[in-house]
Amino acid sequence: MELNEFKKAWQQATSEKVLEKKLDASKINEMLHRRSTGILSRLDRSVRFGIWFLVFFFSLTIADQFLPAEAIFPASWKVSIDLVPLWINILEWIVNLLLMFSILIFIVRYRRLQLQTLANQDLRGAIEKVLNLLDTFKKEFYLALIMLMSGIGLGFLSGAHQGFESIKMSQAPSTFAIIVVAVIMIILLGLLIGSIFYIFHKGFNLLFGKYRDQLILSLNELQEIEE
Amino acid sequence: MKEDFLRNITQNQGIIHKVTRIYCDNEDDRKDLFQEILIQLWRSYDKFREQSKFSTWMYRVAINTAITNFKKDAKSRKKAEFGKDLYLLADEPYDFEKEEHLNLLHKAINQLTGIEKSITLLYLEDKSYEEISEITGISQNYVRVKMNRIKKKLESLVKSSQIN
Repeated sequence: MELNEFKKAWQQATSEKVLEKKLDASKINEMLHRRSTGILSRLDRSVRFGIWFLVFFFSLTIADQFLPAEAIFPASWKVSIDLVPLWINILEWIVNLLLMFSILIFIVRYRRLQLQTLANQDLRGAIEKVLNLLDTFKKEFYLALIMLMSGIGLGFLSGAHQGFESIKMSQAPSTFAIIVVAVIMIILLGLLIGSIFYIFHKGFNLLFGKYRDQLILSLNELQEIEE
Repeated sequence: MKEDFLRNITQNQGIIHKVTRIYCDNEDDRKDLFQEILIQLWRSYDKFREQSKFSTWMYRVAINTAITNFKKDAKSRKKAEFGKDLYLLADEPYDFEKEEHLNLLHKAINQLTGIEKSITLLYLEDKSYEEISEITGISQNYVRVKMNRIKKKLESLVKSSQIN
């Protein structure tokens, strides 16, 4: 069969090429220190960057809650902290606790998934591991989105509450006016959240969508072989 | 540890060259994949327990990396450099027809899926079904069945490119 002839030719041609391209230890060492453009390294870098980004963003949120308003805003700004009701503060803490818990889960998951163990896997294990890493990155994307959304949402709530309270102090608004304002604000908030979500979703698919499909195809092929 | 690693890799680098050769059809992609495999080997090195041969472990990491590497679109890929790597047997008289046939076979191998390429590569490297199974994690029987299917697929691919 031709494949056997090809085997001979392949072995000869590749051993010649190997000799031709043989690198010494210093060149190999140099390659190890160069930034790789391969997708596994990029994905690994992205997940690590994502974790740092989330931790940084979360730290800012916590600092914002812990530090007194005077330490953050200029003295000339009259921040009416007193107008923020307790239930919004409790809501903020619940959201922050959930986010902190999610970030911790990411860190633990990433540590478990580290690509260092790629070698100890068979093909299926390696593909599943990379798919999991991709999935972690996708979830990280959405967690960042949720953090942003909850920040906007809570800001909107406390802003709306403060606005309502200050109006109430000066003149009583009609129920109709309150409903109209609330509906307009909810529509605007919905549009903002929807657009950001859409951009995130499209961005992720653009970056890794085809790659994910390729991995799933390979996994399905392995499944077929073993059936 | 790094010195050991560099020494082992320098001695066995042929494995990486061969893997990049079967998975990439242009020089730039081969260089990128070569570096990525090196990095993955280095990251995994402390997990190498010497339960298997160094070359078996190297094949495993290299193939895992190649299969999980992103295959670029045909549009973004440069044209394959067929013709530059003629599989001419030096110790045999020049046979244009045979050489043409071998190039067709190389083109056909290029059309295989990532997993098929891994099994074909190990077959071309004269690895036993047991070793192929150890490297890929696919059981020996399935490897045997798959290899027969690959042979048939290659035959039909070569035939169809001969007709075209």
